[in-house]
Amino acid sequence: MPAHLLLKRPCFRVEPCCAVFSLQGSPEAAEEAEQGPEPRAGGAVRRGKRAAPTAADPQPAKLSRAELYKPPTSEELTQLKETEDLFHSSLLRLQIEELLKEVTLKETKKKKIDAFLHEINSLLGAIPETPETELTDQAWLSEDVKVPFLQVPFNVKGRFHFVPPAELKVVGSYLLGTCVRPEINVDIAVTMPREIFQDKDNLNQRYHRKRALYLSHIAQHLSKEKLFGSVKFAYMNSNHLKPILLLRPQGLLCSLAGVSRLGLTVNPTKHTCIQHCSYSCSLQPCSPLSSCLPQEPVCSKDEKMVTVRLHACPDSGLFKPSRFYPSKNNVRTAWFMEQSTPKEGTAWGWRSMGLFVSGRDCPQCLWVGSLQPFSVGRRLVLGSNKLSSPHTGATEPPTPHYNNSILCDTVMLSHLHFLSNAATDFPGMKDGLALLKVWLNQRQLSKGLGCFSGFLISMLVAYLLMKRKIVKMMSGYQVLRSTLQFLATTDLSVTGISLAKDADPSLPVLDDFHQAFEVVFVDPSGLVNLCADMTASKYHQVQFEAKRSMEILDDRMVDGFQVLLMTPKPMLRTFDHVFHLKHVSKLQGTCKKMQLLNELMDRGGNYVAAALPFVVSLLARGLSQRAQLVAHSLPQIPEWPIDAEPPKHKDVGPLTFGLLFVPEFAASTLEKGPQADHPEVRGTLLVLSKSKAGAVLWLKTAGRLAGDPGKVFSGPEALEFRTFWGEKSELRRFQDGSICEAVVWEASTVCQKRLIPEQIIRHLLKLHADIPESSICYTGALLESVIRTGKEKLLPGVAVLASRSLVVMPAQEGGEAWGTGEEAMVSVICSYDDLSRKLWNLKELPLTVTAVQGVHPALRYTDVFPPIPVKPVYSFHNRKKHLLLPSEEKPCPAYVTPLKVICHMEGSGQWPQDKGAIKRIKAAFHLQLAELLRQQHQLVCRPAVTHTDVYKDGYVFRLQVAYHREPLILKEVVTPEGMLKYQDTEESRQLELETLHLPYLTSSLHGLQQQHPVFGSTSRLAKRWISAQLLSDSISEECVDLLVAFLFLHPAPFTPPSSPQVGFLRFLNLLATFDWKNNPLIVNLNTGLTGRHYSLCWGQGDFPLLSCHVSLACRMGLAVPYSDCTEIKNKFVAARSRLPVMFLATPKDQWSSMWTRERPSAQILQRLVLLASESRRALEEQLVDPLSDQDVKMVFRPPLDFYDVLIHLNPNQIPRQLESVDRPVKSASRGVVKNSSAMNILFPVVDYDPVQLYLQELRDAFDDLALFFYDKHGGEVIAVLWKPLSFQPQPFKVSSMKGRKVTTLNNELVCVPNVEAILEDFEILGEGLVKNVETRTEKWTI
Amino acid sequence: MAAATGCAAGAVPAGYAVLAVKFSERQRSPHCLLVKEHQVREGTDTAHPPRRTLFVLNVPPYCGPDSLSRLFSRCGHVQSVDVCDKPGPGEKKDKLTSKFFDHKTLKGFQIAYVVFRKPAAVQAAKALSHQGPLLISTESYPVKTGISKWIASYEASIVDPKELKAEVDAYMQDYDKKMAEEEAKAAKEEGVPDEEGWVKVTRKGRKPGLPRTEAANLRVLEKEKQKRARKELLNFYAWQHRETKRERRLYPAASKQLTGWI
Repeated sequence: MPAHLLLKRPCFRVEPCCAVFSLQGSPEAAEEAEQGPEPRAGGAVRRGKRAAPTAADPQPAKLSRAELYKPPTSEELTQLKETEDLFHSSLLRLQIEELLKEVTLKETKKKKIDAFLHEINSLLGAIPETPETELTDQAWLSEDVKVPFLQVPFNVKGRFHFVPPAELKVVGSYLLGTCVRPEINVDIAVTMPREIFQDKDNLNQRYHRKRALYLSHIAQHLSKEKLFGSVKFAYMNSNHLKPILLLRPQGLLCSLAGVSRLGLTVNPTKHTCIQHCSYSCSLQPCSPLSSCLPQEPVCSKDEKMVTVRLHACPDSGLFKPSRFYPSKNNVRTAWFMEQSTPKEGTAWGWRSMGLFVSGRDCPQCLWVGSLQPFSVGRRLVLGSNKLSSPHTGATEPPTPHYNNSILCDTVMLSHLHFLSNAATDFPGMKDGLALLKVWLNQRQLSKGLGCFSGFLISMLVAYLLMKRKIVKMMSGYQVLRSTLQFLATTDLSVTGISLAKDADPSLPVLDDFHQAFEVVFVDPSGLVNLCADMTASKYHQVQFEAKRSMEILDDRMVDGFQVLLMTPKPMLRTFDHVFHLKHVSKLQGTCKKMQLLNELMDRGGNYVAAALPFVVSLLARGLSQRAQLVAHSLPQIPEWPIDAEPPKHKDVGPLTFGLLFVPEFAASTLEKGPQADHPEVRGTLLVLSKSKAGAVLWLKTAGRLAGDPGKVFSGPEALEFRTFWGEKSELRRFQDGSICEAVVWEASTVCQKRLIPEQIIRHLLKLHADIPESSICYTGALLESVIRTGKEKLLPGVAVLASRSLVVMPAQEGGEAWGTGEEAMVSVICSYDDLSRKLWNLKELPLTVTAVQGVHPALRYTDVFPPIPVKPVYSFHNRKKHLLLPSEEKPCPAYVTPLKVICHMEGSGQWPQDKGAIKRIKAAFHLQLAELLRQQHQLVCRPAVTHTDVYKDGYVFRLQVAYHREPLILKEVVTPEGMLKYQDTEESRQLELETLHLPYLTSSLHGLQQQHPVFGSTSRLAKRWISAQLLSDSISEECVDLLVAFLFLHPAPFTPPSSPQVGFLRFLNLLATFDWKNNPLIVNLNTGLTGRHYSLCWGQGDFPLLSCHVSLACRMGLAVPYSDCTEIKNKFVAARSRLPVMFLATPKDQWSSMWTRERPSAQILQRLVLLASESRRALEEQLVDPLSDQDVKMVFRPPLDFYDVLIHLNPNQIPRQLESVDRPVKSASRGVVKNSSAMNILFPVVDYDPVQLYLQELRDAFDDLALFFYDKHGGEVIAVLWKPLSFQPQPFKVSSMKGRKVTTLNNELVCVPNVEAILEDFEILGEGLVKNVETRTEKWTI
Repeated sequence: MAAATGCAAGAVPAGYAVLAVKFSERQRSPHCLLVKEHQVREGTDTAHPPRRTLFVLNVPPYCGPDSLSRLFSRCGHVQSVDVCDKPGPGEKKDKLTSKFFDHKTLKGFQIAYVVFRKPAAVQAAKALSHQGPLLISTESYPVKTGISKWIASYEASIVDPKELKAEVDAYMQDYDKKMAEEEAKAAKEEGVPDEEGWVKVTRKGRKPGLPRTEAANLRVLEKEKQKRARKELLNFYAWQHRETKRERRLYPAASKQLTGWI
């Protein structure tokens, strides 16, 4: 009987709920039994095991035959049928079930929470009444409680007295069972009795103030109770009008409920192990969830367990709903303007700002008079619409947001009923909502003002149910899918939706809502807009995410579950460029500039909320072509203690904006406007100059030069364009002859072009929003300085650069900076292309050149510092005949990188079939290539045995001839029986790598760069970081390139990076969180790995992982996604112990991971992971906080504390000194000058880097005693780490005497390292290079 | 000097003597060379005759054969110095050493065989342990390290094309001649039986045989296997039949697929 059947059988034995999961019990459990208690990082597996005891038999292998062959029970069959019908795949089902287990609330906890709620209920009823006072007289409130409301203007009519609540009702997710850990909130609606209220309480925030006073009185009493761990205020969804009271239980809750605390703890070991085990980061189903959420300050677990939120709400029927229609006004301008007395320092006086010149009786008149310069999104147009009929009926502007905030309170209970109706008989809804909430949480969409909250998503699911887009049969996964599908395809900012069933003609229609709000989703009552606070941009972001998620779910190559639900998407890593508005108080000025008084009144004076939609749509318009998404962070206000003043509007902290670019357009220098064609214009055009792009002619009109540009000529469109762009707009004639308004941004290098969006944003915000440049902190390209080559600006004609700059310009339109090296790279590649053409066409070569392939990183755009064309200064060097040599007295000459190029020669019978002879023939070819290149192309060449160096255009190319059969010949071994065998040898492998795989990789990555223009820069940044951490010799460059390529080829859940910085952040994140131990990293270069989707793989028994689930599915006739990737993963698991610690698979290298075979070692990888996660943390902290002192280079300075010895080097002898992170102010001349085209010049000193030679000698001599670390880009120190093992005394052995001395220890002869002598050897070997050797630890003393 | 004496006077493995050796006067802590008389059976190691050869352990990287030869010349005339990576019988040096090819640069700490002309010198060398540390680099014989060494080796790495060409030509002429000879020999033997009457079959003859490579062998084996598998009976026994039937009954869909697969 096949063994795998035996193992798989128990799947049918266990209970349905565990059935799927006990799959893991079979082969893996057996394997583990053999291996002993090795900890498995596979979180799902481990968790599954915990659930396993519920299964009848956790030891599947020991089942009897009868049990094995028992036919499946009906439940099992249903279960499997369901999986087939309702889920994507059975694996996904397992994952989702595990996730749900993790996030849903346990029954035991629920009991405790219920007990707590009962306590609260009885306490609230016992709060005493207070005498009636004026609303403004708050003396009755004790000093310890501050009213949680910004009472501006303070004066308001009305009287208030406290009466115990008429009713207490639990509402929201807790009752529906849809609350999701880790933040469990229980919402209680506290109904304020009718007698508190008076007529006209709907006006002028009187209701809101009463509500706040009511809550503060409750707070005052509850704060005295021992029951509560904390009593705090917060704003509901950070809306200033809606304070709520937060109650958290005291740590004694358990004793209250009389149960042990065991059930409550969140298994601390699990969390610590995440932090410490650097390998297993991403697989823990729980970890990303809990870690992505903002960590609360340490408080007791019970306190964290649940938050009870008290919402005060009015008695139903207190207010007439018609008063709150979106077009109605409930805040009187006259009252609101009261505050404008100049004594309010923090607030703002409209009058003092000079906005209202004609008095405050009818400020609308001003609005009518003012010309709306352009439409910032739809709302502004609407605003003017509203104003066009200012005096019909009400003279006051409508206050939809204000109205909505009151209405929300009145419908809380009915919403609950509505949702619970939807949730009955619908188990999938609960699961689906949990998944959706996790999805939103991971995308940071569910918190803050205008968030897409859990409540909102519940209502949306209910809506879909109503519309029969979801049926009650559906599983949680299908609910998730349908909801995402709906979100992806429906734009609520254009076509709103409503839950109201019966069309009451008196109710406002959707169009009314669209007039008042950006996003429209009307509740069942037909009155409340659930998305009132949401900006259109936020909704578009949700929509974008939903679209992206649908794509991911449909993509078989990625693990949808992992990327959708397990990967957090913080703004910094999601968006290509991120910038902060440092001081939100500047938005006051924006409100003034944009004339947003109505919005301000509507929002209760919250200038952030009022201005944000306008600012965002301004940016969205300015970046229309360039950005596919302009998103903003949600203003969020933390909770505060009851004795503190409520937070001000400016306390939301800096606002963050994220831009997601369209790579094709993001960097274009031209903004083409509408045609301004007019016969008169043509006549007066003056050609001023020609732009570099060649596409545009600089033109200015006489009229425009003379005076007012707007009025001369041009239609309304052109006028609008000009108003929008301000002075930047110019008239230009294009090549097709049309004359258009256009804006041209100044940028000469690629790195400057990447920052054009910054220019646009700064310009527009200054122009239209009155936000000064100093308040904008643009963090889009802060990191690029570490890969910048040369100075920003160089004067043309500077020949000898005596100072630090090695950058020497070729004969171009000089004076331009090299930027971040992209241009230098292009120029190298041009020169290389020319060389390869010349090689192909060489005459008189006995065999033709079949292929010329570059292998140097510069030829795939990933060289950290691309070579620069140079010419040596003769006098700087020692000269021997025609030879330039470095001079001992002078500083080391500049490092000239040889650019290695493989030159494949035609195969022929003439090639010898013998190792030694092939080598000689190749040497002969090198000689001949040099000779021919000199004769036919006048290139200076220098042949050697293994290569020929060609000096061309100031670069040095190193040609290496390759013969395609040579690796094979190197592999030949003849056994004693005379049989010919092919065996990999070190030599053959090396040769294959160099002549076969490296050229292929280079060309693949070259292609990738064409698709993703920032690939190269990202990779360079990554390499620069690795080298700055002194680890560049411990990991191969190709490996880093591939890791970065992975980010571009498999970006899910993100989009491929469009800026090097975001790419770099994701690189750090990848390094830090990828589960290197249990997963291969598959880089699908050129999409060479294809998923043979849905092919049936019965023979999966060969591969232990997943074989159960696959075969189970097969038996049920399910299709199984089976692809190359699966195969790689399976083989990887089977052979894990024999494979490199870091396993990279590419289409051409699926099983061997050739670029990581030797490096990095396990220790180095661990260090790398640690450094990456620390760097990422430090960097993100800096980038997130615009107010701190930003020094992003910090992560590029290695910690040197833990090294044993530091060898300080003499800067004069470091040829790459200028590449260091902190560039020296002054450095020696390096003896190279601007490249000239002179013939017959002498060969520069090539590939001479004393530090590398020194390192090589050190490693050769002391490899078994110490590790040497160095930053090859201009590091001034070599860090040495002793190997602890080799410092243990060893018995005397002839072979292990290197660098040691013999001594006696406990009367035994042992040898120990001769450390004193070795330390002196460091100096001797590096004579002239080493400045001093600093020993930092005494670890080596024995 | 404390360290130096510690090195010299400390524990010594049997048969060895410890010689302190310093790079130059300035170095304070010396390295310890362990020396002993080279002992092998007569005739096994012709390059390093026993009795006359001094076996030196732990030779520092900057101490090349020349320095060693100079250091030990005070004990007697040094015939040859052989520095190598690990101990082993010395190979007879190839006469045809190339200037450009097959370079083996020695790196790090080495061991060395110093062959004296007279056996007495070996004992004299061992006696050096009682003296002060030996100096590798002196004013009269400076040893290059660091920058000056690297500049020198950079200079050495630049080859003279003419010289290289001459060497390659000479080698290839030799090689061609050798190949021609071999071919001629093979052509002569082609189809000619040896003393026992066997004819050697090569790839080149009129009836080329199978190539004697591993891949060809595997191919043949694989073919055999397939042939055997074709002949074997499936579902021969009753229980095999029964099981197949049960499988079909239980998992109809899968077996349908399965048949499709086959």
